[in-house]
Amino acid sequence: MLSITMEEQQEPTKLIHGSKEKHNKAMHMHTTPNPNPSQTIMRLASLAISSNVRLKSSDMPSHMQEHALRHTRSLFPLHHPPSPKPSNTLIARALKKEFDSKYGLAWHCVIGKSFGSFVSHTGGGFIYFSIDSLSVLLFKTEVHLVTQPPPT
Amino acid sequence: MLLRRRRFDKTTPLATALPQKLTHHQSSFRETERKMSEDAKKNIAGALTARPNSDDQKPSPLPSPAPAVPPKKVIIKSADMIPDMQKEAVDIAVAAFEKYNVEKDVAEQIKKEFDKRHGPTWHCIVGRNFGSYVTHETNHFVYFYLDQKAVLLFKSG
Repeated sequence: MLSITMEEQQEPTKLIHGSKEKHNKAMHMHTTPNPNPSQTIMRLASLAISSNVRLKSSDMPSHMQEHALRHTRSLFPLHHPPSPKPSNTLIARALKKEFDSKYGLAWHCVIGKSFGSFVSHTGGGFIYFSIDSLSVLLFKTEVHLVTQPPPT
Repeated sequence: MLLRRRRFDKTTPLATALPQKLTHHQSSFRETERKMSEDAKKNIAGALTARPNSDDQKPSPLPSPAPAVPPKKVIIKSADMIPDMQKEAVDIAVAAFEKYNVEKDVAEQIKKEFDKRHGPTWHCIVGRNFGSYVTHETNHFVYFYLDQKAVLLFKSG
């Protein structure tokens, strides 16, 4: 039984996330206010169930969450078991490039079975979920213009 | 003036390259990169031109057959960072692994130490099995192994 908790409180930008073997089935989402929150949550929950993904932590608008989950699911060959599975690096690259092009620079993506992380991210630019046996961390940082040329 | 150098092996060596141990007086080291795709090489080639940010691809870490024997074996897999800072990263990582057992605590220790010493904002990933693709500031990226654990440390934002 999936339980969904929605919190509106401000979340600090520094988060600690580790990949664990046992996935917590409680979904905590920190989303921006939207006209129909219950419908959005139900759509995300049904997407999670049908795609075998588990949303673990998020600071991201719901439409971007859905985009991340769907796009990641599409990167895994589901109906062709004999075909080789793409490497974690290629999946991370594809997901990062997708978000770079759609939502601006600069996104970072880490995918794997066993890793711990400590990162800072911009508000509204963070999602951490699992798909099949892999964990996916996707987050965004600010890009500052360089006012002086880098040392040559 | 500080020279910015970056070297990648274009060809795959027939034999496995010997691991390079980072020593205190080591001024240069040889990097071996095998798992990068052509697109990634183009990205890195693009990074050689003066760009504020460069996209860098990290291969999944492979399990090391060698057993863990102190002192810890250090292998710099990929770096866009001055050697002094690289050594600093390795030293901080070694200390963090001795102090903590959980990977996220190790990552936290490393990131916070670098935020303090070299200014925000750093990011750190530690683990046995992960692939990544990140954008980092020029001269602020390192990816290395400590025994069987991989450490990815970069600055962005």
